[in-house]
Amino acid sequence: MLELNRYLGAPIHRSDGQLWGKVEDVVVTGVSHPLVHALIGHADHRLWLITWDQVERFERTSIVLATSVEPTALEARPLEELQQAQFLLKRDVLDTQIIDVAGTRVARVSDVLLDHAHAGQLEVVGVDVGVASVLARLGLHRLGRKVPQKVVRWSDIHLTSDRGHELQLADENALVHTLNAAALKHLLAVVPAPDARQILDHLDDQTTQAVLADPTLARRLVLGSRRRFTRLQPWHRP
Amino acid sequence: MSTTSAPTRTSLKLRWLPLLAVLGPGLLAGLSDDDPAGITTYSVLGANYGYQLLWVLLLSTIALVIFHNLGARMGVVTGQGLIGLIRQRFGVRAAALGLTVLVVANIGTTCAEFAGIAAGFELFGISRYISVPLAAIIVSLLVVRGSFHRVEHLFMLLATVFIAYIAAGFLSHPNWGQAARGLVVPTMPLTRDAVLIATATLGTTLAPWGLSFIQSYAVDKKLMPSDLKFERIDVITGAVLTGVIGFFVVISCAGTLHVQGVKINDAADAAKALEPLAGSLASALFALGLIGAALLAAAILPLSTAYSITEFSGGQAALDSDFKHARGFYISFGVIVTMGALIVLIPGAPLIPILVLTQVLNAVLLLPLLIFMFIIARDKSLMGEFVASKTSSAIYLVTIALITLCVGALLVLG
Repeated sequence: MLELNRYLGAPIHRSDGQLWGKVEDVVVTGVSHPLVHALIGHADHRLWLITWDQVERFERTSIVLATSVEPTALEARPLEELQQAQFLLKRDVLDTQIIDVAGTRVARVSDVLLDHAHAGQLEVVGVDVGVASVLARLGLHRLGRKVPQKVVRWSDIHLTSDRGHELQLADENALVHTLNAAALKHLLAVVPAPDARQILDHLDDQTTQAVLADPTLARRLVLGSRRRFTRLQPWHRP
Repeated sequence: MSTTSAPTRTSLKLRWLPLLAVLGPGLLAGLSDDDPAGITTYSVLGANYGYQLLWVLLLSTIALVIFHNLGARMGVVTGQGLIGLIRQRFGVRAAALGLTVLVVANIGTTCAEFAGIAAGFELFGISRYISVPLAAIIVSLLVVRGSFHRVEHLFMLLATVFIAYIAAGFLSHPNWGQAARGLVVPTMPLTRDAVLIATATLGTTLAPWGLSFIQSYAVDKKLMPSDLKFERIDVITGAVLTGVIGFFVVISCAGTLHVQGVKINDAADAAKALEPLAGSLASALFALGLIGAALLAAAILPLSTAYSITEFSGGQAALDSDFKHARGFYISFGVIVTMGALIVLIPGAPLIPILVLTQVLNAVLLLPLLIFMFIIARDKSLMGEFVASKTSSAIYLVTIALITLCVGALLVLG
């Protein structure tokens, strides 16, 4: 299992051993099974796109470019250059809030876990949401090793970052489109309010009716702010 | 020919109904800034400088409107609190550092709130060993047992105690002409003490915990982007009321203590000193206001801290959650309340150094927080269509520059 944090900021060398730059972010393609598509490198005060086939070796201590590779220079904001179903692991996943749908909880990503897939590719398999990775990133490695990781499988996650949420809504195989009414109710109760409204807009009529049978969710999602005019609604917890 | 008819009276009423529903974050974040530390600062400002520095209060209120509005907007648009957003945008180190300073400063400020409760009740002859534990239990029960609505209603009810200051202001028979002049004509004696009290006024009005609170609370209230126009009214109302109450505290002291040359050290002193000058009713109202303000802030400070800690760790931070789903949130709240109350009750605890350190930490933390907020406000990937325009950005920058000057002055002269 590879941990994203150990590779962010890692040095990238040319095939002749000369230092080229460092890893800034990782581009992945696919929502349900994201595969590493490219690295974003930082060199000469600008960002570069290094496609995965241009990477000769990807090890913690040694990331080496293939012979005679010239990475593509990116504009200042790589967002515009991303293609459909592509997102960035550092910008769109790391340190963002996620919903662990299986564990019915809200969490924040401390690390992204990758594993080797077929044909030399790397796949995102899960995230760590525990404090172990936070401690390690703060330089408290010894303390971090004493705390176990809290791993959530990628297949159980709904992302709340702008790009992540948008891609999951657009991909019909994404988790959000496979949930039953009970799981959807929980998800809609904990995602940020604007995201919840967008998810609701993507549901079919039958599921929408089932979800809105819950009066608390109905107040939150359908009536918008007007329902809150009923300021005298019960004082006990819903 | 146009077919649009004039809106009926009913539709006009309905159009404004959501405002009542949205009211809350701006009012509470603003009014809780008028806490014992704030009342003390305003009292000293009025007692020592009369009406002359009222314009500082006006400028502070404008800065409060600008940044509380930005905080609420960031919360509504991103669905995240300030510390959570800082971790997402600037990484775990920046967020951990910001959170650590914020938590230490918030514990210090919570101590100040409980010290205010102790001082306020002692004016009525009630021992701090009764008032402080009782206040800690009441605010804890309120937050732990209540739903979001109950907590919000009771907070708002508590905030009505601030009317006491307006009454105290009228009872002190101020010179309204001089007050109006002091509010709009910026003059200032160029002395170290005057610069310090002016800076402290800005610092007590625009506090780091207030900025993080308004954002987290707007998230917990589950406001939608469509609520933003009403939320702006809520923020402006809250900030203006904060300024108005500060104004009445200043004129209560300016019309009496300043005229008679009475020097005071804190808000409780001011309440005592008001009795022979403005009558026992004015004095009692001033003390009552102090207790109410301290109770409100003693609940909001730990709540703001619990929101921030939970946002950093990523757990559920919502008043409607039960203990099982929001363990970290409720434990953080309990620990902060307990620490704040205990420190005030320990005989011989170094309260004054704690409060001074708190003021310095708040001043040091304010600038990076404002800069983080500025960068997030300009980040299209986080704010989408609500990204700050060039005009708004320029206003933020000018305000940050002015605050930098003030914080620099405080650190150099303090």
